[in-house]
Amino acid sequence: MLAKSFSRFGALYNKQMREMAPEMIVIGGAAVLVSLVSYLRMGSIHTAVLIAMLMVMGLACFLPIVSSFRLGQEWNNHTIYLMMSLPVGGGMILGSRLAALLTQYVFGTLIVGFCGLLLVIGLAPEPVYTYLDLVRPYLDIAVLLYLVTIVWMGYLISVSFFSQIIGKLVSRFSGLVTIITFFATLWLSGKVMGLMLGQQTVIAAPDLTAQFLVMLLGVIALVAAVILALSIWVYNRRVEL
Amino acid sequence: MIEFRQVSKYFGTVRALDNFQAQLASGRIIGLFGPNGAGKSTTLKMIAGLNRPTRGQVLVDGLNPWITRDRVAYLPEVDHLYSWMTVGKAAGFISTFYSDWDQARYQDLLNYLNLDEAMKIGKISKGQRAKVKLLLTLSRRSPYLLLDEPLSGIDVLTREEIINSVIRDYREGEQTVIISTHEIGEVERLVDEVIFIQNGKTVLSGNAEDLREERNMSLVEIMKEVLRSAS
Amino acid sequence: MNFDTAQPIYRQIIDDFRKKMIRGELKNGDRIPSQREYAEMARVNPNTVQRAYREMEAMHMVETLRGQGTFVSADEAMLASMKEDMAQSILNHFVAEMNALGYRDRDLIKILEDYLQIKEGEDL
Repeated sequence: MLAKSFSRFGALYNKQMREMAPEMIVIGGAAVLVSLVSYLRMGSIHTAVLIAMLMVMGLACFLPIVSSFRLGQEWNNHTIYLMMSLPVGGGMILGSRLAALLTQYVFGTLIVGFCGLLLVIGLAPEPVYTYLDLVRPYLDIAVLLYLVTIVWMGYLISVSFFSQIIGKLVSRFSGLVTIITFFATLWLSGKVMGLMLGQQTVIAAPDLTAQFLVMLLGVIALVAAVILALSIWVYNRRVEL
Repeated sequence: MIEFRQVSKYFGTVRALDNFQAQLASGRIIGLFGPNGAGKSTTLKMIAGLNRPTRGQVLVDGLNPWITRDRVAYLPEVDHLYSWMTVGKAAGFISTFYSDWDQARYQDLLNYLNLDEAMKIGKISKGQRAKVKLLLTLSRRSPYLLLDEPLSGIDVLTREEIINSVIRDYREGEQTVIISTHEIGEVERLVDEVIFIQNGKTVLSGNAEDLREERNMSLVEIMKEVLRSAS
Repeated sequence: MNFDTAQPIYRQIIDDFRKKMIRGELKNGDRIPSQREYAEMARVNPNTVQRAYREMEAMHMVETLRGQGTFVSADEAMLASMKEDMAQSILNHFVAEMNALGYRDRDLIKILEDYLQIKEGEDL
């Protein structure tokens, strides 16, 4: 039973990854290319290099959101007929997509991060260990922060799924409904998250303690899970072809 | 057995099915005949669990069609396969989800239909795509097989291949096949039972041979007459 | 195989076998195609073939031996009576059709004689 679910999830996950492979190669390639060019051309860490790497990083962060809108495309090219006929529920379908998109995010950001790191090590005027000492106390915060971004991604992707599925409930102005739902959900869930975080608002630059970050992680994950669950429910009970 | 109990279906204000009542017996090849827009596709999609009645109930083996999706092999009229997949990849993907996947039958049909696993679905001709769709649907030993306009837009020779494929693997008494088409002539000899549907309602149903005997007419002619009198 | 779709197909299948038996193309003890083979060959619903075979078995035209296949079991007497029945039915049909055209029964003999004479001439 479990093995069967595993292989089904795996099949869906692999299919998603295969569909996103071109973009991931582009990101990875861009990161490597920019790093290589920077290393060979510049002698030191230029602002231009920083900007270039930041742009590729931005791309790596932005891409999964864009890719998440592929869900709606399944209706356009009719592959949704295949998807919905498969004897699995929305949980598997959306869950595997989410997993694949998060993989894309992690892969992209880690590649860019890694290349950036190598670049810094290569171009830095001083040996690496001096920087290591500087960085060490902030390491656990950095990791937590990265995890928060991953969960944040999951949240944005869930909102994207939700708005696309809601859009597919109407036959006309589907795109408009999707966009409106997307921003409305962001606004509403943002308010909810703000309420849950209570006094400590993110904008007012609070103490970036590990404690706070863990709480933030929890809140975002919870809201994301609720939105995802709603999407799954609508897919299972309301979507029709 | 498949049951439609007083099923009405509205897509917005458009009525696709109007108090549609039908019982589709198991183990038969059933023809769902009617003009375009009569409600045939909607009916099949309901059995496949892809849409729900606005009123009334559809039961597959007494259960909600969403639950019985694993017993149903549905061949939609549209191209529902991923164009970037090869035939082999698509088969591998689909077979993961169904316990009734029959690998031996898949290989057999692959040869019979002159298809190649390396073919990329987006790059082959329309006739070959129709055959690939059929291949992937028939490679399962499913109790229910739904074919929505399997022959439309296909050349004559490919049509023969498709019909023959359905015949040679059909398990009489065990498998229920429902073919929906507006081109009755092609499947005239293939069906046991017929349901003539127009404007979302059943206008005539029964055993094909009995109908021929009673009226001394082919199913094509019967449908023409029935539609003429209903309009 | 061509079937008249305005008539029940299973009957036509039985007639097809009947004719072959009467003409001697199928002899007593000959194996006929399995239901599936026949359905594929004739491109007809296997359930229809099943019905035809069942009726043929009920009429003792054929018999199925488990694991071996279906065989013609019509003996001389049965063949003779089948031939007679078919001839009778063709005659009934002929007379009815000719009557429908307006020919009277007593004219039919002369019409048939003339027709056969011409036919003999052509055959030579």
